[in-house]
Amino acid sequence: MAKRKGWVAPSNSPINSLDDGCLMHIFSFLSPIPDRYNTALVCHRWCFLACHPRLWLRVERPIKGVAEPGVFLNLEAAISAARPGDTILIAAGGNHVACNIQIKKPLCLIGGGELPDETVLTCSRGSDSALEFLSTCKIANLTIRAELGCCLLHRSGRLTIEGCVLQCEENPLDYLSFPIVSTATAYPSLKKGQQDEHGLTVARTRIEGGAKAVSTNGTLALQHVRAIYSRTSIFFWFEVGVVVDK
Amino acid sequence: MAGSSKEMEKVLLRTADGGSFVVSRCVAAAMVAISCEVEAGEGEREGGILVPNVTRPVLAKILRFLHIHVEMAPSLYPITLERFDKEFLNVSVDFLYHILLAAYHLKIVSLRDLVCQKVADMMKGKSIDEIRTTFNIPNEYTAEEMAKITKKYPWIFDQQLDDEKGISVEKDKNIENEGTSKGKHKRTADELGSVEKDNHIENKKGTNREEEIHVESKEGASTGKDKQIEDKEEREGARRRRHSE
Repeated sequence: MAKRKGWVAPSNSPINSLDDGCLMHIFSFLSPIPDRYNTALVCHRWCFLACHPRLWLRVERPIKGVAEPGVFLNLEAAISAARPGDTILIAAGGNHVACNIQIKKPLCLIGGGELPDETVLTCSRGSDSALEFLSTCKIANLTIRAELGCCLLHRSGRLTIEGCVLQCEENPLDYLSFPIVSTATAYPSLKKGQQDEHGLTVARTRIEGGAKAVSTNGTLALQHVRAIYSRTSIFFWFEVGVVVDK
Repeated sequence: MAGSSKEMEKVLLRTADGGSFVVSRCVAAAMVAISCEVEAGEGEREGGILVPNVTRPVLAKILRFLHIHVEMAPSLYPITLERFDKEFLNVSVDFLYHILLAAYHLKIVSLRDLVCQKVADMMKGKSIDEIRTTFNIPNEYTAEEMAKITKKYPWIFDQQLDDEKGISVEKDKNIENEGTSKGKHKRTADELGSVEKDNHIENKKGTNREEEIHVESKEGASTGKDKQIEDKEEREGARRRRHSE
């Protein structure tokens, strides 16, 4: 075994004499919150293994046609099977349908392509939203396309949207659609200087179509807006949160 | 019952450190990594099959497990098997790791999962410091590094309004269940700077996050005004976007 920073001789911590595969298999028996992520904070090696993509759930068509554990045919199945804290990797290509999917547990959804455009979640007409978030979550590298209605409905928790593309299709009723709708309300923080529980953070995301990018129906407000105009599209960075009194 | 006579044939297994064992074919075939050799009849040869990466005591232990689970299992009650499993894993932690490594590389799925579950149980429900003590791992992280990691995974480490305790033994037992885990995670006060414990908050323990009643904030006139400004900015942004399209 090559010497790494923080490598300890096996005689001192015998569990580190197990190879990566064994340790990862052990971590797969732990629920992500709180146990597996506790182990991630123990040492560098465990952090690498506990957060390894091999422990993620995947949404893709199984290659051999045989059901593998941790691989699901559609996003809804993966979300219901996921434990709080899990990460779901959605395979690029293919046609993923996301209609009114409620996410009540903390999850991370990641698109499996190199660009967000390669992994598309489509929300058909007749659904209010593609994804509805009631918990702190993160989505990255995904394209979400809504025909009517909104792409993301944020009800509570802190939602992080990173490197995504949110599209509302052009149609005569597009004044009714918003890519992001936030109905979260802030409640008075019990402690001074505490981070807000509810809010939305958007980074490096393209937002196209719709009447306006974010509709805040709750008490949160849009702030810290930054936009970069590239040749083909506009990238946004903004936050929706409690207005900070100046 | 391991009925067919072929399965009852004996094969010879050797280890690198000189151990040799004669077992029945079905037991040897349960070690998937060498099952091809068993099928090919190598076990009946003079030299037998050399089982890689395993020492004599470890292989003896594994063969005992396989003997019970493969040959005797049909004639035993499940509870007997469970008791056997419990007894079986009552060994020193070092030896346990050797068994795990061997089971993993010999691809004995049932034994591998059994030992992994046992080690995972040693990690369950413990705080970070407790895990470090149990497994004798030194702390490599500075407080900043830990803060960096927790920031990277907000959906896991998000600090809750109703849960201010650091990772400690007095964890709320409600939270430990897997399927019903409400996503609460705690950090030790030492690791991330001091966090004041607010007694007021402890009353909210165990509240389901999704069902939290949002306290209606009393919006003053000023908040309403700010909202108007933000909406205006948004409208301008939308106008700008339409122009550029």
